[in-house]
Amino acid sequence: MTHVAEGVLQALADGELSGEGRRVAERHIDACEACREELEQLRSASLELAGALSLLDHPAPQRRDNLFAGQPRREAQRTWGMSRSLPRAAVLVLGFAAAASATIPGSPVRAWLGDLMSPETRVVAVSTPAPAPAEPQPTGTAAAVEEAAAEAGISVLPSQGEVRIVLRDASPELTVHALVVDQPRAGVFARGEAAAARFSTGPGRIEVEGAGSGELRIELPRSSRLATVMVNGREYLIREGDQLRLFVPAQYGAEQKVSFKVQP
Amino acid sequence: MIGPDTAPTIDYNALYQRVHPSLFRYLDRLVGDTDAAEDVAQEAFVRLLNRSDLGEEAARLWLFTVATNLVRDRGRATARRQRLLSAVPITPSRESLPDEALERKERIQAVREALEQLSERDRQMLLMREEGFKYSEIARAVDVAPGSVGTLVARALKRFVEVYRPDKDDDDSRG
Repeated sequence: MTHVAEGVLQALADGELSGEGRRVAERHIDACEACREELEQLRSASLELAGALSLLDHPAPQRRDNLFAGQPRREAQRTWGMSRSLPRAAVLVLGFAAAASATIPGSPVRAWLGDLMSPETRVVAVSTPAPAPAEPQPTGTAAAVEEAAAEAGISVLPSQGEVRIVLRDASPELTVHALVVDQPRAGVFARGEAAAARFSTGPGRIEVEGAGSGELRIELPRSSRLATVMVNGREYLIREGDQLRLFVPAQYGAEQKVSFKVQP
Repeated sequence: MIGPDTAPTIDYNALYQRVHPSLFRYLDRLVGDTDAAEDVAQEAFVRLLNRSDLGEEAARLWLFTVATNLVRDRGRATARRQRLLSAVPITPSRESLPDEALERKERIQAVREALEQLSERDRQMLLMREEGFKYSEIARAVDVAPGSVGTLVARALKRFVEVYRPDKDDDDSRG
């Protein structure tokens, strides 16, 4: 039996195959377990590489101001103003002390963000929660608003249909909830001690370093072609199209929500 | 000849913001030295100023190609310097680190060693692929036929995993 060539399988996995070539390959793969396994192996290797490479990453050093000052102006008013590029990539520091004290009494919590590498990155600002009400409030809008106010995070647009969420140095006390959302952006939102983690972003990518105990909510856009969640160098979750695969014990909730703990 | 009226126009600010993070990450992974990676990235952008003939998309590939060449040239210069200097053996010391940090350090070392096992070309291909380059662009950058990129990438991936996780099952049962 003639199988699909290795290079063609790789091209298929990378979205490089189209038209008739793609259809022919897919038809064969549907009928051939060996080729399906080979394709799976290549995809697994790709994820392995991505996870491994993420261990090497560092934030970029602070850019030098006015590196290109004095450069001759090109036609059509094109200049390279480094100082203008800095504000959007500036380090933002959000104070969570008030929000944190509501969740961890007596324990000041500080959350801060690394360099925002993409102009498409959006930061969820945290508002100071209202003082605790005298009587328990029923669940509903007010409670939801207060819950949202005690949470903070970051969201990005997918890059070429792909989203990567990378957690590094995540504590085994951390609970992670992942869910599919009908929104265009992928997001990671932290509560509790997890809010003290360091967030950074890249195209289609959110990295969270040092999330302690607490909760992390990961939102994966339904429209993304491929979404992966790596934790401490291991792939935990892959969502490809409508298929969701988990590689650690998890609890399944309503509306495509899964919850899992960080494995020791 | 491309004149001022027909020259491709580049918004350098936007290009820098769009490309620099990816270029820096690529170089950091390639070189393993954050400062050197940033230096090379900056140098590549400075050199781009002399290329008024490039459009934005071509500029992105050009930046990565130039930056890779700069890394290669620096590597040769370093090797030459090392040959000229008398080598003083350095005894590696085992730092006193918490277990978790030590494990992470060892994992990083394992990734570096696995990357070193790849040829320069394969390393460049895999890292450019990670930055979202299409096969046609990767083919131009490493000077191979576009139709061969899939095969080369597949083999490089398998080689990487083979070295990085030698205990991983390698079940190739296709007839």
